[in-house]
Amino acid sequence: MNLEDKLRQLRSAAQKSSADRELERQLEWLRRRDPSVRPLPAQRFPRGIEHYVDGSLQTNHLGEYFIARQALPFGRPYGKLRVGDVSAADLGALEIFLEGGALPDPARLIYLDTETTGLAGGTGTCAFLIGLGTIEGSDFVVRQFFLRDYPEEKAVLAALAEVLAGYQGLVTFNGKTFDVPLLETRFRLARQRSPFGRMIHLDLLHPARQLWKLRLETCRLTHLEAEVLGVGRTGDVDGSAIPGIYFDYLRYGDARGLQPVFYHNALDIVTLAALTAELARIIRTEAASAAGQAIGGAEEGAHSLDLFSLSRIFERAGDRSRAASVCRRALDSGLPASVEPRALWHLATQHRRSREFEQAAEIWREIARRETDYFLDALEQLAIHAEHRLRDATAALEFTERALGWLRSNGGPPERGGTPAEWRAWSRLERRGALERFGHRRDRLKRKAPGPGAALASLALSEP
Amino acid sequence: MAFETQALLTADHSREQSVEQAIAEIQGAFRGPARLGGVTAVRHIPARVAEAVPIPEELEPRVAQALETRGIRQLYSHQAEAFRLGREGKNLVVVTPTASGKTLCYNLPILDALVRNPDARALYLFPTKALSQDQLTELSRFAAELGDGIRTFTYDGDTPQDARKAIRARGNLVITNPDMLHAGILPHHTKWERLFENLQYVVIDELHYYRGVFGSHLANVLRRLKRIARFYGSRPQFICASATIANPADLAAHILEEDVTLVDRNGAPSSDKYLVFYNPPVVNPQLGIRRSYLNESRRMARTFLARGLETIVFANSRLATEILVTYLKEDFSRSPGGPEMVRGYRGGYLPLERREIERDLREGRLLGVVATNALELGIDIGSLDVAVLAGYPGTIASTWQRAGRAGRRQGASAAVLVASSAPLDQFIVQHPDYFFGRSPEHGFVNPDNLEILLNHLKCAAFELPIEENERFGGLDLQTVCRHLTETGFLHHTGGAWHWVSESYPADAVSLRSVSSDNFVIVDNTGEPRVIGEVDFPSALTTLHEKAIYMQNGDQYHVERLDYDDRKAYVHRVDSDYYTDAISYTKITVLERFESRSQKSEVRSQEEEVRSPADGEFRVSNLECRESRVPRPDSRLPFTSHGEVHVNTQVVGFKKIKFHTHENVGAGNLTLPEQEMHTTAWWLTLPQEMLASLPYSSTDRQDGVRALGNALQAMAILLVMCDGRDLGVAVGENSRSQEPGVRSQGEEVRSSELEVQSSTGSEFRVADFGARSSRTPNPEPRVPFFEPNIYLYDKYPGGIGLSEPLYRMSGSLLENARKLIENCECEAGCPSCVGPMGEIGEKGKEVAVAILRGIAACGQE
Repeated sequence: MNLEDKLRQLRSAAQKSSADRELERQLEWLRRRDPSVRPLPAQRFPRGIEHYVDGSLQTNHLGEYFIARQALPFGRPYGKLRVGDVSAADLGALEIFLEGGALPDPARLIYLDTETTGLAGGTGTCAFLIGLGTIEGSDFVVRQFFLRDYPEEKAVLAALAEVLAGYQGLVTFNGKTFDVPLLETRFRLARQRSPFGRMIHLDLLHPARQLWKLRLETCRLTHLEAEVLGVGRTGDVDGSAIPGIYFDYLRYGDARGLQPVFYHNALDIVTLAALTAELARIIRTEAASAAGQAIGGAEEGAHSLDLFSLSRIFERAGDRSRAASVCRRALDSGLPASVEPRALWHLATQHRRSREFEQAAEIWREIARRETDYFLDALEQLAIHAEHRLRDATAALEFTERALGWLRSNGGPPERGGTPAEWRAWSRLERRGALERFGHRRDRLKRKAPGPGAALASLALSEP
Repeated sequence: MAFETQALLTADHSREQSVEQAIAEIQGAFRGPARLGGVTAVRHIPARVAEAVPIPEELEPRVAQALETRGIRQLYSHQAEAFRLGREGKNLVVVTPTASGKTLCYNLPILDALVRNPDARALYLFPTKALSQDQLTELSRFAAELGDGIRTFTYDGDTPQDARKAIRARGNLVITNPDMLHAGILPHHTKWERLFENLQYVVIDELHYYRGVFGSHLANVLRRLKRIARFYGSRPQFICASATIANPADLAAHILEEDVTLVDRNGAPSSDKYLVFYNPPVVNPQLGIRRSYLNESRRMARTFLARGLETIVFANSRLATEILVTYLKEDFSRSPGGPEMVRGYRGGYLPLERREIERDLREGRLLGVVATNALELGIDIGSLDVAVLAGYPGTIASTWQRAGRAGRRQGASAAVLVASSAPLDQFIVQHPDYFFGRSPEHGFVNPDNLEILLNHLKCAAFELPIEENERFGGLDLQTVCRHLTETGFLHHTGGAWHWVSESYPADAVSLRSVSSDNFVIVDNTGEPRVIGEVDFPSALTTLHEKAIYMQNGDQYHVERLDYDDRKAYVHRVDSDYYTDAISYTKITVLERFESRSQKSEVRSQEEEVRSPADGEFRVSNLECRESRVPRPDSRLPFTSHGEVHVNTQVVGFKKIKFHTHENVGAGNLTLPEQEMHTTAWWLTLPQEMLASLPYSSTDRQDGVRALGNALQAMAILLVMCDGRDLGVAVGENSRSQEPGVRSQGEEVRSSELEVQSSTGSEFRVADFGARSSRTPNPEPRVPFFEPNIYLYDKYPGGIGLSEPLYRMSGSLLENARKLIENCECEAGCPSCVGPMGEIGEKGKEVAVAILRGIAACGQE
């Protein structure tokens, strides 16, 4: 150590306050006690990503950053689709998932997915890999911005904003909750303007859930990719391992582990685009066939559970006639017993709302034939229908008595030690005050129609 | 038995008579000799007239108008002073009694500023959500007068998700608590851009509440807050309010780490008030047993409640609260179907239930309430007639706050303190002058406690990278950040440390207790349901298997404690006993910072009390390490402070019968041992000095243990902490080691318990506590006996109690002597040195002899 270094050391020691020294002393104790603390090799700027990932260093006014770019030709197969389907897709059908606004055509759309240092959110989570998918010429292009280290974030964000500026629409998977707020936070921390405000944003997670949740149970992107697109991923990395891989790279400077992360991210982007096209296709096809038009002829018919889900999507979008017709098709092509009553109830509701009461009543009668879900609801609707529309108090009373009879023998609390499902079912009944409501109805009906009416009601029931 | 209450009184004068009659009845209740108990003091605090000044001309006219609309045409002098200083940009701490209009002290300058500049932002911090709600109500009344200039919201765990976005963007006066600031706001500061860019004021009410661990955490949260504000280019001004303590400005300065101006000249009026100290009479002079303070408190409360006086009873624990609710509900059983007349109120009740009780109290629908300190802080429950304090609240400041809950605008009110047999209670009730004199209580914090600091540095790094040259509360962070880098939390690059972990660090830090681990209580009586939560340290003592857990007067038997999953499964029972846990403690000295013989100590009459952050001491501490503090003259007693290792374990419990409080059984428990590295103060009694006392060696050991109990009691009083914050243990020195550096100690909390002394290679088998220890050892003991009495900080790393204690050693020993000498018991009782069963027949006598011996050494 030369004299100058010694002097500098002395000087810095003298500047330390006594509180600082106290802290160091406490720390020394802590370290002696905690064997998990081990010195790291000297920190160095992590390098080496270029050895494992095909990409290049770029420079903008805020510094250097690393970007990987790969182009997938349209002709390349992707599961049961081709990459080019993404560009050819008519996405207009997806507008029912937007709260106003129109989706631009696929060429003005950008697909985005990030890999982050965690899922915790807040200011301490960072997107270290930002993947973008766009259509350029006859290719689907995936660009990936990578943070070789934190100081490059400013340059990366600026470059990202520059690319986004050329597009009008954004498609993500859970981006409304996760990716976009996270990036907005990063922009704010970097004191840069967030580019997202002006973009139309379609978060595919919710549409995908609405359409496939009933059939697939989980709607993770990789799961949809396999089930809906028929893509089999190999060599993928488990998403929960990704932050650790990046941290290890930062600490030890070894970029090898990142290769599968880039791959994972790129696949997510392509899948996102393909899934968008496929979702649009299904909705468009079914909407058309609901309206009595067939497109293309050879299109594959949707699964009956998906049809039921789609019917509910149409309902939410306020399109009752499509909702009813798609639901009827779902029922016709056969639904599992656990779902069928719900679908019937849903279909009846569409008819009721369209004031097609006879059709609705027919379905209610069908539900009421078996003691399944919606059994009580159907009886209640039938009672209402009989009392107020058919003005048949006797029949209404009969439906009511039947509901009450069922409630008396089945509606009590479960035995001690009943299953949670039984308790839930019971508490749902309790909450809805079924017994009380039917009781009131019966009292009222009795005043209206004291005479016997059993014959009429059973007649009503036995009619198909 | 059920009492018929008189029709609720409305006329002030009859209420006043009732209060006076009730006090007379209490005074006449015990006719034995005064030294055995009864009323030890009745202070009449006459009504005080206001010191009023005109509304300052500088006050924004709309605010002045709003005041006038609300009937305020003058200010109390302290309000005007706070307004003036606040406008000058000073950081303030306002110290005035309960109900002196202190909220206006911060509301005036802030409303004034917000009306002038609606873009400006203010952040209010209250220690509890209930207080926040209360302040919101208060401010909303103002806001209604001031148009849309003031947009007040509370932001805490109860705020609905969909309202949060609007609050973040629009609210210019946001009311929250330190916990939410710590875990909900700072880690998401980018969403609060508008607030931080324009943050002009931060209000911290109930500042005295933030001492010890909580205060040390708050200081670090504020360091983080200032750091974020700096990022957005703002530098807020702080206005604090505190109850009366000895060092409010000092405490504020250490929490804020800023210059602070004190406003403490109270200009508010007050009404007639009686303060009564009552000591339950001694029923067994041999054992020093007094009548149960809970029974006596119940009797007091009954005296007032039966006269239709609205009464709040404060108890010091959840347990005592539940016992008293049970008793008083028995006394005042409601008519069938009618409303409850008496209810309980404490943490652990659901928020809705609490709001309902608060409202019923305000509207006079509830005659009595039994509460923990949850109702001590300024929640608006209106004014009641009487406060009965079942047991000394632990600090003079709390006592005044609780007493302040009784006090009408007009007419008399009363507060009765019923002393328990705890030493602190006995000291206070027997030395009323100590209480009514100048406050001796100091609040201390230690923001640089390493454990606390490390946790907040993680949070800070999560919020913004830590720059190399950055300082955090004046600390240089290089070493600590390097440590966090090596433990894998930070990454050093480009001149800053970045957070590199998937976790959300604020979630792992609870500001209020050692760990954020809570135990969930599941009631399996019917359909399983969660009935409450208990923090980790309390869980080990209240939720162990076979414990009786009490909530809202209901008793639950703990069937299983799932330690790993932090769950306790309970079953409703009807039990005639409750349980009390027994724990075991062992102490090892790691390092001695400073030592002084009591010779020099006693001579310096007025000890300086320095705050833990004081630089000078730290320097000497460091030198200690390097040069091994020389042991003072070995013939004289000396005190030290330093670092220790503490092992504690809950090993058993006692069953105690309701009403009679007799011991009806016990059980063993095996709960995991808790380890802690912390700081301690200790007194070393040299072999030579003890040997000169004319007692057997067993008696000497008893005396030392007795002295330990008395010292703990007095220390709690001086450093204003809770019994839970400061532990006591006795150990001894071994001459085979470097004197005074290493020692081992152990403590036995209950005489029923057997404790085996452990042998370590470095340590000699401690023969201390031989009475309960049955370590077989056929050889005669070495007669050498040189004990240490430890008072240790119960927070890992220490929260700065030991060093002030070391500075106050003289008055600590002196007051302990007073406590023991003035106690009426014959040979020790729970009120001074512990009961005879625990400290032996001569324990008390020897303790006094030792203290006199120490005093004599000082006069040589």
